[in-house]
Amino acid sequence: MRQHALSQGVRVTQGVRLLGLGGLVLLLSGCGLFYNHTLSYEDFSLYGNQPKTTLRRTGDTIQDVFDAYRLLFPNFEEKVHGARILYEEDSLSQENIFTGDLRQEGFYLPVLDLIHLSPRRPRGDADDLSVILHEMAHHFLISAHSKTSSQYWLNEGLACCLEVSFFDEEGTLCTPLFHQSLFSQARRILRRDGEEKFRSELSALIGASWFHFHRSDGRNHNYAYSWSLYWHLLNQQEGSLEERVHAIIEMSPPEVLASIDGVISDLRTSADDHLAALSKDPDLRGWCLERWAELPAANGRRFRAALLEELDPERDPGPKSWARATLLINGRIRGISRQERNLLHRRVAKTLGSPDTDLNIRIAIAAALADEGSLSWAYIVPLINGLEEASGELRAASARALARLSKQKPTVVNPGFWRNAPPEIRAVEVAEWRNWYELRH
Amino acid sequence: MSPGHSPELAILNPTSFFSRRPRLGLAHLLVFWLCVFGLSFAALGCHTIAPMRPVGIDQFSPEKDVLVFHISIEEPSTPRSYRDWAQAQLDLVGGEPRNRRYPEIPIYEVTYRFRVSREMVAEVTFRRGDDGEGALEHAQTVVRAVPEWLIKEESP
Repeated sequence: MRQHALSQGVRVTQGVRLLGLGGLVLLLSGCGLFYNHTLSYEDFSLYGNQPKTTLRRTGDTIQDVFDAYRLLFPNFEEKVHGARILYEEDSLSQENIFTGDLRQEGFYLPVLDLIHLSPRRPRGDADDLSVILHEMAHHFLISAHSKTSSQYWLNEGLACCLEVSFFDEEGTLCTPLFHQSLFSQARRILRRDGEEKFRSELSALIGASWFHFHRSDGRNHNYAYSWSLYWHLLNQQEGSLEERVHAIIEMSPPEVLASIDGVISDLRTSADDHLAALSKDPDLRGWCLERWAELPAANGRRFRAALLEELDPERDPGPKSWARATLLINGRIRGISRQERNLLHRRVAKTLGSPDTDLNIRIAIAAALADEGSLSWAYIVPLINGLEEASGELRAASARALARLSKQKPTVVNPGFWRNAPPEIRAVEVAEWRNWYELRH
Repeated sequence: MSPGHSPELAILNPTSFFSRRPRLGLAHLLVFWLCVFGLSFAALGCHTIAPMRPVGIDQFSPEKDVLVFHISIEEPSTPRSYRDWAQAQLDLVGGEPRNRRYPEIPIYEVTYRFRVSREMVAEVTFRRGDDGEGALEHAQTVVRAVPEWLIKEESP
């Protein structure tokens, strides 16, 4: 028996030694042992299995977010530690196979300053950015105010406010803080459950444990509750974003609870009204227009007014603004009369066809029409003319847009053909398009 | 245990292990593995996904150099199987499908749309590189969430 106990003791000691050695190796190597590539940045190390160029692109975006948060939270900066960031794609995504399954896209472990990102593709770079913005918000907040690490509503509230941020054409981070999908979700909950239950559920979140927040039955709603409370509190404070965040951290639980009536009042106001207020800021107008288009019953009059302001020549709108306007006009925005929509189509078509327009704007409009074009005859002539332009990019984008707009006439969409084929061969296709147009008119 | 035999070796030595508990050890091992397999099957719901069985293929040529195939299948399949089946179809024509009306124009893009009872469940796209050159390569497979009513109940 004694010998048996002895041998068991030796085994346990060996196991502990082995684990200790493993831990030491992992600690010394960072997480590099598990990943093919490690990229070192000023503020973080990034680990991943993607090709280095892809990983570098993500790393650059993360560094941009780091830099932007430093500007937003200048007093947090000295306390913010370097981070370890793991970037992973599931095996299906790596093979460009995308499913509609819902899954977690990132998490943050404060103890290890570790951020795990696993964004879903192919939704686009904007979605990758939102996951990075969200997790990095946790890192900044908890690094600077460690006591917030157990205030889950506060942490998720700020992270959800910041995840809708975006970089404008000058590379400045714009922070609208208004999360439309969480706003709509919170409104739905309020409408379904009534004020009393809404109030009690929200109150229960103030001191909620990790388990309650992330594992209880109502966990899917907790982000909507947290965001709506945090957004309301931010709007109640004055000063810079950092000052407002700091003021919320300093609030006592009774003070937070006292603001729930204000949250309910915010949710009673329509998204349309909130967007109209936000769109007065020229930096946020374009972003608001995109959110407006997602509303099932947008106010068309307000939307159109904001869109015209966005395209005001005095503002000198760039390719991004024109592409966005083209997508919105051709999209499913409701509340605009056919006549108004036709006027908008003509405005875009005129810009597309004008040789005085910046080439990048013309390409951006044609590319947007290829993505979301609806058949409006206003576009056909500028696009056919676009097939004969000197720019191969414009010719390729015009061909793709024509293919989308006209379902009746088959064409060649291969961009290589429109960029590189000899002019006399391309001329055959262009002649077909012109004949087709003549016959239709 | 022989004198001088190291205690660690005695534990790790399989003969000494079996010599102490020969039948019980095997029985435990067997029961353990049966439990593991049993639980795994229970967790997976014992669901077996049948191989893809196309019941009809239609071809469309919306553009001179774009082909779209509509494949009717009996029931939804696994995400990779859509891509693999489409790749096999492409390989059957040497990776160079042709539009019968414009056989002289190389195909730029091929899409396979899989439908179950007219409901699209997956779309696989192959495309040439951005310069329009090179072979047709898998661009992406998008698998849609399958409505409950499309999943056939296994007969007991």
